[in-house]
Amino acid sequence: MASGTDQATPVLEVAGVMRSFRTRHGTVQALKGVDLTVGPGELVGLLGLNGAGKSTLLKIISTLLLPTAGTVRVCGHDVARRPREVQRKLSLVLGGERGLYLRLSARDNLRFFATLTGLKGPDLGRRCEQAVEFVGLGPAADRPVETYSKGMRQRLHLAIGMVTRPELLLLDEPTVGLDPAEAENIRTAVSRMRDQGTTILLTSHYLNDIEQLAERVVVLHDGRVLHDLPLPRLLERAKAAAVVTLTGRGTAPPHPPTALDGLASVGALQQHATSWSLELHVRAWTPESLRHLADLWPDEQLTDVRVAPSGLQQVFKELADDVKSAA
Amino acid sequence: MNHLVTAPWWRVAAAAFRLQFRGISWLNVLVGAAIQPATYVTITLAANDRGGLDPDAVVLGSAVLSAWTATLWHAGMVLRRELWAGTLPAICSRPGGLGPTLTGKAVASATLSVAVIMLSVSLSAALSGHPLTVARPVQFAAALVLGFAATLPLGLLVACLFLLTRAALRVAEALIYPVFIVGGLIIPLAALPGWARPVSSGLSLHWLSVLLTDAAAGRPAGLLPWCALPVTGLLYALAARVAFGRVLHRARKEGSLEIF
Repeated sequence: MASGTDQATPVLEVAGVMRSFRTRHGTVQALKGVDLTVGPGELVGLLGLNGAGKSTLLKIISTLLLPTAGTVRVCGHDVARRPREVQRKLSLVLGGERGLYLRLSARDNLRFFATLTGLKGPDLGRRCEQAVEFVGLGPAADRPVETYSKGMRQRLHLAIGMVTRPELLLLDEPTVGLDPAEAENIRTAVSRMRDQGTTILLTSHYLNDIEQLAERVVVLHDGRVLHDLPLPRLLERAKAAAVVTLTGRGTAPPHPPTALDGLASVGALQQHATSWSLELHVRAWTPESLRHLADLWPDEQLTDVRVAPSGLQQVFKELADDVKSAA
Repeated sequence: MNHLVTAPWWRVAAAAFRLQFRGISWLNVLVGAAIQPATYVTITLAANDRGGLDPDAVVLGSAVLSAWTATLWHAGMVLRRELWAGTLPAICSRPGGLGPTLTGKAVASATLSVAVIMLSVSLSAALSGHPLTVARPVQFAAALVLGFAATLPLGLLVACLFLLTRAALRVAEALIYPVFIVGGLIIPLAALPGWARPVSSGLSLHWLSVLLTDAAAGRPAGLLPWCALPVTGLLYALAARVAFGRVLHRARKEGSLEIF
């Protein structure tokens, strides 16, 4: 896919970027000094709660917005001073069903957006064909887009994003609203693009996307970078290796087992009509842990024990909780 | 290596022109450029049954009125439709850019509208018993081409202004009527109050109507309308350029325009 970027030159350099918006109710500071560097071929996941500044950052990188302060460079070109150069190097793919000409076919949509990026002649036709085949839209490429499912439309967005083989692909919520099968199709396509060397910055609310695709995760919070770590290291930060959910009959235990070996923290304890459930976050889950629990509660009280390994979802929840409690 | 170069302006405009034609809403064209002009012609010819006005002037005035309506609803709404479709971020983040896209789409929209309006007006005039005759076809064609070129920037200007307001549809409706009244297109300028007459001088559509009517009647057009038509078009083009820059500025720098 993309090649030719000097290995020494970062594809994306974001330095001290701030962005404020004037509203009727005053000035809103969406970004408060973001620093981020993405090297060639990296796939970086951008995580953050709603309002963290993810979309604003993507819009600045893609030249749609100017930063209030700081600089953003794409392949060495400043987004504020050389927007045309930047636009030739990147492609922005927004999630959702909008952003396409619904009366027209996938081919018509692709040809138009590819022309806007500078493709022409036989190269234009060839690249469009390759793009529709790449995302699996070949047989439907001449149908009006209004007849497409959500997933097909999202695949078309991806095809439009990759048709010009950008150095940097910005993906904003690429699996939003998709069923699991279509979401997997999108993840597969993104994964293939990563394997072909495209540098990708991906935002998603579905942490599965980030966990399956990204090598590195940047967590934005309140307009600042809270964490910028390789995915395994971020997962290591999880306070718990697993979440154990216990379900029992009758009344909930008055004193949850705070002395359990490997216990990181006790989560939610819920009393239902005839049963209770308790979440335990454990650093390690061993057969010994299970025996310990069995000693605490006689068999007739415990009806179910479920163990879920901690993932990015848990890490993100903990990070968000930490931020909220700090505030 | 990524060897992409910025597409020339004309290539992007041509692609946008093709795209607009392919995605055209024929229902919009039928209502705006066929039924509406036919209705104007039929009503005004019927109202003029006693012959107070020149029938050809009434027919051509109706055609120009329809062109104004089409300018507002078709060319003027080009950017709004992109906004509704959510395609503006994809267009504005590509080097081809919004300007050529807007121009190509507006030209496509206006070309189709003018063609259908002329057909509709000619047919309905003939069916009403007043077939349109053009004594000076070359002058008529020249006026039509110049009028198209002078009115298109008005569509581009309106398109940019409509992006600045969420009430674009209401504004479009409100803009239709003043031009109907003070443009001198159907209501003779002499019938308007003195203070309202000069307003028509700033309207390219007024001068277009004058040139078309003179050509149809076989009168040589004076120098004033031939000069006034391109001058008004040039002023609209300058205003459209400023408005376009203002729209992009508000969107990118101020971030106060939620178009992305």
